Amino acid sequence: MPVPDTNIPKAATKPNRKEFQRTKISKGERLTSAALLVLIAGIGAVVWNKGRHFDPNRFALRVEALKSTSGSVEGKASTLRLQGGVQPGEEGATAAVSPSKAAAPGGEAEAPEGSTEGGTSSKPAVKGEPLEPQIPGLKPMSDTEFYSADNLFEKIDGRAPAYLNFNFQQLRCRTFSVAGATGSFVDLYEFRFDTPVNAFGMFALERDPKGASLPFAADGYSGEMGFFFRQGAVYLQVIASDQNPKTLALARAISQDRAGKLPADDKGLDGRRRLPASGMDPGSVQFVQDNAQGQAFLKDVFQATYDFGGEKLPFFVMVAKPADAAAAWKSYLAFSSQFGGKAETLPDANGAKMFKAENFGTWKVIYQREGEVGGVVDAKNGSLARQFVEQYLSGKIK
Amino acid sequence: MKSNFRDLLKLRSVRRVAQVFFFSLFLFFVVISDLRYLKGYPASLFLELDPLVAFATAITTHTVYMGLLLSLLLILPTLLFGRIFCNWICPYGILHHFIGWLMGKRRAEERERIEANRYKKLYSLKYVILIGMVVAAVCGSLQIGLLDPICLFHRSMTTAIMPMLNIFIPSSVYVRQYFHMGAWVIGFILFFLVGMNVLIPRFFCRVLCPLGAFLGTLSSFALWRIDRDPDKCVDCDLCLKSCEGASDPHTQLRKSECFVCFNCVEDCPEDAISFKFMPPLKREITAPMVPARRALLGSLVGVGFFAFGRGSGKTDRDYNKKVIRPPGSVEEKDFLDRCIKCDQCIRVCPTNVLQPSLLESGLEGIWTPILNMKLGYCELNCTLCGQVCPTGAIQRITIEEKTGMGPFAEEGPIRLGTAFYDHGRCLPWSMETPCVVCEEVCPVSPKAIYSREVTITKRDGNPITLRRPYVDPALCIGCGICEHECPVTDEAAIRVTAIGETRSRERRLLMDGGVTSSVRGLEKRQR
Repeated sequence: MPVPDTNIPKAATKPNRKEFQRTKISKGERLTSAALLVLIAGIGAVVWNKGRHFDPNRFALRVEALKSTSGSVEGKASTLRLQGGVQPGEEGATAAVSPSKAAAPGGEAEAPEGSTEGGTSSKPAVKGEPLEPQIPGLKPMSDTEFYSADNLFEKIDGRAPAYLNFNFQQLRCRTFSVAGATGSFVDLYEFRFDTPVNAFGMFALERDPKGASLPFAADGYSGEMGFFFRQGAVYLQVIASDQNPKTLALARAISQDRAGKLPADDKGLDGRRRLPASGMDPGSVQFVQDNAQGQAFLKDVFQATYDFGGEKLPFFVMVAKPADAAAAWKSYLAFSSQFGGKAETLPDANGAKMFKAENFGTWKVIYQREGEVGGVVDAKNGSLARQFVEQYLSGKIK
Repeated sequence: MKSNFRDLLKLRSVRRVAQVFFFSLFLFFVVISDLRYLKGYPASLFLELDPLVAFATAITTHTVYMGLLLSLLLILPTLLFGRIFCNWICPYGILHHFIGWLMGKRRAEERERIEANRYKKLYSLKYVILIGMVVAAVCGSLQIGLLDPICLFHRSMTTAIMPMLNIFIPSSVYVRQYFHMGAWVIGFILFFLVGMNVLIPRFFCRVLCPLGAFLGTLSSFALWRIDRDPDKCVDCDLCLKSCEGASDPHTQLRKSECFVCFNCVEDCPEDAISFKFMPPLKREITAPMVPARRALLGSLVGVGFFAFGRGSGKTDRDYNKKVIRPPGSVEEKDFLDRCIKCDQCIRVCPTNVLQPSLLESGLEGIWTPILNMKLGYCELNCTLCGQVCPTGAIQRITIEEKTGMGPFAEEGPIRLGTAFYDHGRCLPWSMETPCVVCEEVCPVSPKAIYSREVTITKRDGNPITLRRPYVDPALCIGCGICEHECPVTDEAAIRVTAIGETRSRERRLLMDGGVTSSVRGLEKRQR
């Protein structure tokens, strides 16, 4: 009788053996299993509970942590301007001279206390009058905040340099909650500049071309969520938190209140007033302080685009002393004759000298009349450009 | 019904429930390690529970970081019951178990499965690896993160799996697609190790896992363990059929290899196997079997790794300028003593700036986090990386401390490095083109980037006024947003390097640390 080979596992001799199922479970095992299941559930509960309790500041900006910067550095500017002379190493370069910044390079100047209205030096924000429009339904949510040229960027960050270019002086801002509407509020910003023309320049730079005109502000428009306008040397922004009609109505009320209380002042805006209204695209009005159209002799220029004869015509006006205006016109004529341009002097019209030039496929027609220089530039149709200028000079376009 | 409920109360069933629970919990922590969801969840819990992390960092730093005391919750049960972590809790082990079940010899003949689960000498390799890593740690180089399963799995999920998910299902994980340097290496390592389950079941756990080796060593002292009654046993070897640890329950049990999976208990038709309190020693092999010469080889590799790695100088004078560490990081040598390369900080970073380094910080620093400003920038008001770091390589700091505000105003902000201009690439400096993006985005107050106006004559003869930017090194915190936003995107015209970082005295740029700069001087005079 063959001896069974005990080294061969029994399983191998039964390939189709039914899988074994253990049925005997001791009481100890059952209790241990139950305890472990409870422990697993407990761990889950602990983790879930821990997730509910946390410090929200870990994920949120702590505004209080920033307050220590509000009494910040005197004389510092985010953009330094040289006080004159040539930048070392820059052959043929000229340094921009700005009368507005009192700080020396390195920012070591100690700025004097207090700020002056329309002053030309950047000074720290002095706590002035708080913003307290008395509008029913509005309640202040915070104190009035004050910012000067030195720390404006803390409030508006990357927009600050543009404001500083227009000689920004002080920002007053405050937030008001809307009574009866949880979560609704209105922000009021008043940016004060040194002159009305600079306030206009900043307003025009940020203007929304789709905005609707305002009846209470000659330079102003309303957007989807707010009202933006200039009053005197102040550029105001009144922004609603939502498009709820009640919130928008209160924003409008604040705007009208401030427009009524701030003094009107259009000093320096002669050029703006001279831009004809007929055919103007209101969203295109701009103010350029220096080097308009790349020309050093064009400063404090107001320009806008007009619909005329089916074309879009850019038109500008510069108001200056008659001698300066004449010199600018002459320089422009000389420049237009360069680089293969075709320039021709036109007959005088309504007391104004005129020339017409074509450069690189576009036309310009430039006039000079006493202390005013202006004209159409970058027009595709030279005849149309000339017609527009002549009609403007004759008063047919107002 | 009754039999189903009875089956649920088997320890093997509870083990399966535990596996599903802990694996799901791990995935949950990976998903919520995000600014939007993190809240108070202990996202680094598995890392803090990892005993090898606590042990190795205790060796390198001579301290135990606060959260790592949780590892005692695993060490004590291991000393009592053996390697329960490996099969009940370890998410990486659970993944291997599942893949092995899915892809392995499930439907093959029993004999093949039994043979695959016998102990092999190759399985002693993990002890050699552990010895090498511990010796390296004693010398001062923390490398357990390379193969520790929790670190490895966290790293793989962060750098490879989650971005891969987002590629196939956009916006499912990130708001904007994340990219990670060298993700393909980490991803392929994960796939390779998981794929090896087809050839050797639980390949990683049995052959490579240093945590398994560590727990296996501790298991030598376990009081409860699997025991085989030789009187009942008929030598059918069916206990090997599903043995996860290849612990040879059919002969003398190898205690250090047993995963306490209870499969052998379920599979034994003769009820010969049970889980007992202190069974006779003659029925087990207590300690891991590691040949002495192999142990010595492991030690030498550990020493060599430290010496060769440190000798390259990357942690000393020849440091790489692009090794910019997260805010709150400790000094570089201490950082490498603590960083376990789990990449939790990379997972939680909201801007994708944190990246796993390759060899930038030397051999020791592979897969440790550095900043890559091309992919992101350090958000000023964020300290999440420090909140999730389990070992204190990145300290838990507040936003005030990071930005140098409030009580920290005297010390100033934490600087990660300093930005430098490449004038040849900067638009206003050399291309006659206006640009002030860097100045606009500089987040500090006062801004570290300022510009000076200059009017030049262009090539076509027209004048143009440009604003040329400069960096004030006393104010620059090295956040990198300028580099990230620079429109010269292939190689930014302004680039941040590690010089000037506040965590290192040797890497200071300014002799006084920028404390008495002209601008800061004004602040002090006013105070």
